[in-house]
Amino acid sequence: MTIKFIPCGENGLIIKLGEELNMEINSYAVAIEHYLQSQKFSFITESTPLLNSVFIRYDTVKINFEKLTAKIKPIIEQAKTQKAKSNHLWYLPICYDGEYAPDIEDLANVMQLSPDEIKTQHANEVLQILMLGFAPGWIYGGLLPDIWDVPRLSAAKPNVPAGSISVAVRQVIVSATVAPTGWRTIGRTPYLNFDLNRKDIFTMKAGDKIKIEKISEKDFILLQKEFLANKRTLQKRAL
Amino acid sequence: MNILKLLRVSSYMTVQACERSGYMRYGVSESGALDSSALAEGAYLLGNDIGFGCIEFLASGGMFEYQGEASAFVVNGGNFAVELNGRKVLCGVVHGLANGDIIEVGGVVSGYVGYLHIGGGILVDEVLGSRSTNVRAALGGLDGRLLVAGDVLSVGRAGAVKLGSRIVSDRLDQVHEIRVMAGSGQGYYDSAMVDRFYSYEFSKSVSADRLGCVLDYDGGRIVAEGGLGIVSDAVILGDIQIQGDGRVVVLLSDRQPTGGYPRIGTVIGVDLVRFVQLGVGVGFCFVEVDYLEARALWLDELDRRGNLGECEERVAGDDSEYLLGQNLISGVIDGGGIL
Repeated sequence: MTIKFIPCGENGLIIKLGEELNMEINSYAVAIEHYLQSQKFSFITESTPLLNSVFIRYDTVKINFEKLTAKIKPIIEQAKTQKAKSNHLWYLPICYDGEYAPDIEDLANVMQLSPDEIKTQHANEVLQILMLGFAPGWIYGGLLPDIWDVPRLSAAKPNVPAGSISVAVRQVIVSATVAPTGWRTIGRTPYLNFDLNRKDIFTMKAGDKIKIEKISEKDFILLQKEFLANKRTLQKRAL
Repeated sequence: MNILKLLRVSSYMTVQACERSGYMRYGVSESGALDSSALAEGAYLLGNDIGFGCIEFLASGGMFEYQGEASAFVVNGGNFAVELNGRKVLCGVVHGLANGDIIEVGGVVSGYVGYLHIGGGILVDEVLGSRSTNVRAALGGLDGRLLVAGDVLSVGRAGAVKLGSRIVSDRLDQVHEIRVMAGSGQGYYDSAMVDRFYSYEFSKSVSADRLGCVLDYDGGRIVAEGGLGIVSDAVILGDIQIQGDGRVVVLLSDRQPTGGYPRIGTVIGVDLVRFVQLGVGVGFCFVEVDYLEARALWLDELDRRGNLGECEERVAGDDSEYLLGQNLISGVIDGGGIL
């Protein structure tokens, strides 16, 4: 693994762990970021674990890039032997039917499976949360088996609803706001990972896992009401 | 309670304040005033905190009615035509504000982004630690959205305002060079493409908002041959990405915080405020500086923002007398805050 330290403006650092994305690199990014947080360095303003990198914003008044990387290099080594932080497995309800799955027929053609096979195979996967990114609360999960290595659409679809489950390149996006996406949407969850009216505004985080619970359209409507009214919380267990 | 009524708005008007920092790990970009110098200067002149809200607009302003206790205001950022109750007043200078006053901000004279700051600030609720609006994420400001005519904003109580003062700055001066650091993805471009990037003349297209700004250029397209399948990483303020179709985009405060188009350059902090103030169609080139130079310039800028009194200038002549007259009418705020 060749690790690169890339300056990003006057106060940013990308620790790039490799060019590729695999579970090992992603877990390492999460572990490094977690260990960095535990060190509570006064010169680090914020840190973020990403797919195969860690982003750090630092106080450039307190430290420069060279000294920062010198401080961080041993941390990266030490992170290899640190115990993983306590993460959660979340039971996320997803409906793969009707209006919630607008691109499932198209994906079935691309993958040469039936829509039912796609639903079953997708729902049986346990997703690792690789990062949160793109927009508030959006989850990038994966990595799915090779048959899910399907390309993105050539053009983005506008106004895709919050909670949409979309797939491409062995990854799954769980959206949490209305936004365009160039990935194929095959389901929707009634639980939004970004809700300002909830105590835990962002619930699921990088390093957590998701176990999918397949639900009907009827259940979707019921659960959505309960989640929005804060009458139901997302089920979880410690990993 | 003091209020500001929006009688007329322009197309991309929002409440902005300081950044919403620390939430990138949840997919939230920092938002905040595009021209962070103008935010700091407006706050200094009115005795506000940079966490207080102000109104940001692009290319043209609007019409506002103030109701409440004696206060003061300043329009800054770009240079805009400003009228107070139908009388022309200087942009960038602090003027008194009384109950029922009408402020009208017209089209931009030079620059691009403007701010209306009111003593005591626009007091929308803080969301995730900031009052700044992120329209795309429907976050902060007034219900996370663009301001529209008829909106009524709550305004705080003015503190120690510096009536008749302005801050002298050179950031609206004509610039033909925008300095950048090598971008985190410059290695994905071959040297011929990097040469194009540093030799072409660019200008802002009309497609410019708070997410980013598409640049126009003539000549062969700039493309990243090996960079279209790269794994997403952090996208920061001022990053310049080149999309698959050759479009060059400078990413700004409300951008998406992660992305997979390789960044060829990053506009350095001190030139970011110059960049956002460039008018549509004004030509410029990108020039590369190294990290140490960019950092030294930024530290100087932070030093300047911490000592704005040294750049403060009292406006002399008729306008000053007019302002003093205003002050006598308005009276003294909070035991002598105004003068």
